[in-house]
Amino acid sequence: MAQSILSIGIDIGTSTSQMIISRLTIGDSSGMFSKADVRVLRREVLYASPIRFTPLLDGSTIDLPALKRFVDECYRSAGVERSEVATGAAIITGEAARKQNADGVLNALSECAGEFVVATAGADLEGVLAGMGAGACAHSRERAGRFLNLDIGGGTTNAAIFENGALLDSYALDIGGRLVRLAADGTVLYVSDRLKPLMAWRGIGLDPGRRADWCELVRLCEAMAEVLSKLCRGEALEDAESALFIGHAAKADCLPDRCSFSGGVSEYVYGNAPVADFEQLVFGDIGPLLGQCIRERFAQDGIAVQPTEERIRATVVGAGCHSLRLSGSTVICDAEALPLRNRPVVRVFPGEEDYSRLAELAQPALARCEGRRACLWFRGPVSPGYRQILEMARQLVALADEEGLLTVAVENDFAKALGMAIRRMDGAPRRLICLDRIRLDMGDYIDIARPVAGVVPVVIKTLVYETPS
Amino acid sequence: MNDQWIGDLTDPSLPREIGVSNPADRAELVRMQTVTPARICVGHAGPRYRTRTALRFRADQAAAADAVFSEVSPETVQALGLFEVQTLCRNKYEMLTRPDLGRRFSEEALQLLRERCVHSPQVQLYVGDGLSAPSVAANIPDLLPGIADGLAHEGVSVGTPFFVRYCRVNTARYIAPALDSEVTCVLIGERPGLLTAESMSAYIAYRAHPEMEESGYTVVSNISRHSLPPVEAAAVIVELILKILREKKSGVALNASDL
Amino acid sequence: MKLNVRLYGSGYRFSSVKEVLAKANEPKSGDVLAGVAAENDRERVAAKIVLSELTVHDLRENPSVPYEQDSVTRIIQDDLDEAEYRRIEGMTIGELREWMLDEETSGDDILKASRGMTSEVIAGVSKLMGNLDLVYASRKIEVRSHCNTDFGLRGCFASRLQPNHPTDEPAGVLASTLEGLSYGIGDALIGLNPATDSVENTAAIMNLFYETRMRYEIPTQTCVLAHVTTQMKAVRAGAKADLCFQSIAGSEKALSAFGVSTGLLEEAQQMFREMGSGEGPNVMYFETGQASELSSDAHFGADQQTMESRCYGLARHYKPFLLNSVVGFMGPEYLYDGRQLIRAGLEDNFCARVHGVPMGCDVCYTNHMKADQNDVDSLTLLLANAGCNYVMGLPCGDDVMLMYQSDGFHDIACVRELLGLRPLPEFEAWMERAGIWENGRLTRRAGDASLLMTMNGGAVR
Repeated sequence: MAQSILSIGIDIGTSTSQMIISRLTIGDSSGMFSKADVRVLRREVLYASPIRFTPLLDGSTIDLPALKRFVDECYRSAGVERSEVATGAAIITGEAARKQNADGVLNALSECAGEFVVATAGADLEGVLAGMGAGACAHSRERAGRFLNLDIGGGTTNAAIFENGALLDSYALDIGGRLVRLAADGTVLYVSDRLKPLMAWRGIGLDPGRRADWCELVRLCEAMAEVLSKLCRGEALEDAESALFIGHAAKADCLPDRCSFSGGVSEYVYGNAPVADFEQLVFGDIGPLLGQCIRERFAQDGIAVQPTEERIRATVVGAGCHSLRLSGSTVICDAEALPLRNRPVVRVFPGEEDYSRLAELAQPALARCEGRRACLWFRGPVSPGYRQILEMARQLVALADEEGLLTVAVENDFAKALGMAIRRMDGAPRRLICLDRIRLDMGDYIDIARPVAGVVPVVIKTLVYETPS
Repeated sequence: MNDQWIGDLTDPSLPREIGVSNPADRAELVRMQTVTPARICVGHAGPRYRTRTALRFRADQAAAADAVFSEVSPETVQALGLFEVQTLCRNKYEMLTRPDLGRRFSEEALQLLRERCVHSPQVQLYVGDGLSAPSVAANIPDLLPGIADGLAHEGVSVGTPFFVRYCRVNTARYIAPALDSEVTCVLIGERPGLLTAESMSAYIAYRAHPEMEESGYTVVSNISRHSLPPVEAAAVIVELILKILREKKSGVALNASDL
Repeated sequence: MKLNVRLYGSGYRFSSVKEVLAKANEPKSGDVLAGVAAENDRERVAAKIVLSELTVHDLRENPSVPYEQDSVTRIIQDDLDEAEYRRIEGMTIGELREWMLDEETSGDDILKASRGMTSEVIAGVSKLMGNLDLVYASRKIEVRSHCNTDFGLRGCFASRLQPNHPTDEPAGVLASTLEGLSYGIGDALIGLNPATDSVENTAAIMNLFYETRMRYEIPTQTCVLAHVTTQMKAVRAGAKADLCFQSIAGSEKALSAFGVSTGLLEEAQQMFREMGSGEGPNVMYFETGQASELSSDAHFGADQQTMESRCYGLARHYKPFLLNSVVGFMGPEYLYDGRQLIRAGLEDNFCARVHGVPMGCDVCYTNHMKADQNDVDSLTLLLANAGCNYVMGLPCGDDVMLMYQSDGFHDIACVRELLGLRPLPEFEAWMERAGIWENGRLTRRAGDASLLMTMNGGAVR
């Protein structure tokens, strides 16, 4: 039986913030001759907030009370009670995530946004959510080849490459519309430090307090457009260009066949109104000009650009509609232990799996976790034997955390059998979460929600926070 | 020459083949094969199938047909620690064409059951060949102990399991009254498809009786190592049986109580 | 009315027309299961002899289910053209058989006369026919219909593209659809049996088909074979479907086991004429199959072939665009082996065509029948010779959702080439534009699912 839940998505970006409320319908899509296949059958956006500038007290500090008011106002306008919202994700992105108060923002949101709203950050994750929200991930299932989505916002460009629905690579760059801000008369108000190497290499001069030379602005935007074009064509970047990568570079062997754009700047990539002087920089930044330069550069280089379903809302739609993963439909969970937030993942076997060594290998990693609170993960056999299940249960039974909760997730479909076997053991943990059909890795964090339609929704995060740079 | 082997074309680890000569977009064909289990991108020899396509189909259909028409050997029954009874069907032909006979037993068979089985258990489990003989050896070793241990742990009394040859699901209508079981659960071979010939289903009924409705069964299907693994199915079945015992009903009536 | 006969010195007595019809039926495991079959072959022939002497009048007056009890009987009886009936009511079934086989009798003559025949009469004639009789008589008849394209034309062998998928995944459905199109399959219709019978899912696949038809400008019809009420809800919500599908059966009680009534079918037809995306006037698509009445205990002691014939009597009331029997889907308790399958397929084709229904056949078997793909090959070739309008087309004949086997894309291509039959004309022209068909056969480019996707802008010009 299909069941629907409400999910919220909040995106706090460098320049703008948005919120959506969506309805996710979860149910079984299998026929009479195949086994249950519970998935998200439908995603509908019920409410989309207006796009607001991210409230700032000054140039870099986010105004927490104002942010809370914004969330409250969204709930009111949508006519939805906080208690009705079952899940969701708040993502704090771009330059905002690097600001010193990011922590406070995420905590404030968890409080005011709803019980199980996962707080996330990280440019890579943003790119992935934007790619999903823009529809690039879904489109990659419909056509062969690699599909790159570039989400170009105020502070960063977040890229994700999909092939046949799977993520191949994600990365982020300091390319964005609000890295340079201008007064109405063209006076430069702000230039991000992150652009300095590129500007120095290109010999572009823009000084805060002085009127910008239009040609210099065009050259800067062209330089940024060229970086994106080179990435699409697999051309080597100069050092000053590579310096724009945040954290890590793009994978070398992962060239896209098609690309699409989302984020605020994408409105101008897909638009066609010419941007020829300061008057057209309506938000006091270079976004429209950057969009135009990218459009022209990609056309010139013959790169196939596909339309997208969402542009400026891609990330928030991704956070609200696509952040959720579902467990298999036969699992064991003591629902009163849920929701769980931010459990670090302990991947028990780095390589070959030997279930007789489960406890031995898991113990030291668990000991490193605060209060032994973690989620143990291993693949497990495709169809384990009954004896194997008993062996795994024996090994796992003593690995609960300090509160007596044992959290286990496996990739293959046997969690109910394993969970039941653990419960039958002497010294069984007080509470047990045993999920399957979940793929995790060392370094991941997992949030686990209450079950819906017989499955357990989870959110998997690879990076929780961007370290301030 | 005698120790040279031709590879197994049904090996699931083999990549799927593109049989189309000079496709317009080969990458597209590779992608298409990942989104459906249907036999696509096979190409053709004239208007007919290529040889490997035709042989692969025949192999899969042969496995399915053999599963239906072969017998569970007495050795298999013994190795599973079961004893055997037979329905009124005398052979596979009758089993397939006479569902009315495939559900009933002779007085002698019922007598044997009464002699060898514990009476009035809360749960009677038994195994039937149904439409797939190989499903028995493929699933029962992991399925049956999983169910029995799970129920025993919950303090539920489980009857003496046995094997029924030429078995239809509706044997449950006669087994339950004969042994006075509260819940009856038959683990029975499913009609094979070309994807797998070794699937089983569990049909579970509360107080089964000859006049019960078909909708009185709670069903767990697609039990096989390719679909719902037998150990996992055992856990699902245990949970369902406990629920059926609690609510004293099964099938549609049980589902309705969820609403 | 003589119901007794001597044969080889033994006497055979039958108590009713219904019993005669049942025992005259060729061997079917379902009739044995129902307890209505002849004891042995001699009794079967005895029944055939009695049947051959019964008149059209006798059969009309003894419907398998009483008029007062059954809406299907009422439709069959009330729809009869009384003038045509009066012309033939005195003929015996044996005479009717010879008249249909007479070289001077045309298909149109048969169609005109059949307006005065009840379904029992037509079933009765088929029981006196051998397999080749059925092929010969069926082939005379041309029944045409129109939705978006012309259908039923003589010299054409069409197909339903059946791109089923275990979970209705649109990308997977589309992959099988493109593969089928590349073999010239789908001229009768593109139709999916959904894994999940929900309005949402049905609407999604309806729209996927509609968009595909538009994108590649394919002259055909599309349909999702959900329950009729589900389709109606989907179309009301704005989804695009050309044809309205429903499984039907030969008695009111059996229909209600499918969750439909004659009134509901009427309503559905009306709605699809107004709101469906097909041009019409023929907008209905029915499926039938011998023994669906028995499986719902709604056969009223009649044999499965007579009950099947009554489905066509019901169907013709709604002037369907097409109909097919899913001949081997019910299992070995109804049709045991390839021989019974082939017989049933030929009977169904004959009975439906004589009823004036555009007829196709899902030439199929389940794995618990004693049948295999060679039986599908044989029956397909026989049916193509018998004027059958279409068969199913599946990737290699393997249905990965319903878990049974039917005709493959290749089978249709081969039969067309062998017998000089063509796809429907508008679709044939499209195939030529797409470069997959030339001089009455597939080209070397056929069978490449990526071909359509790589065409300029998608449209085939």
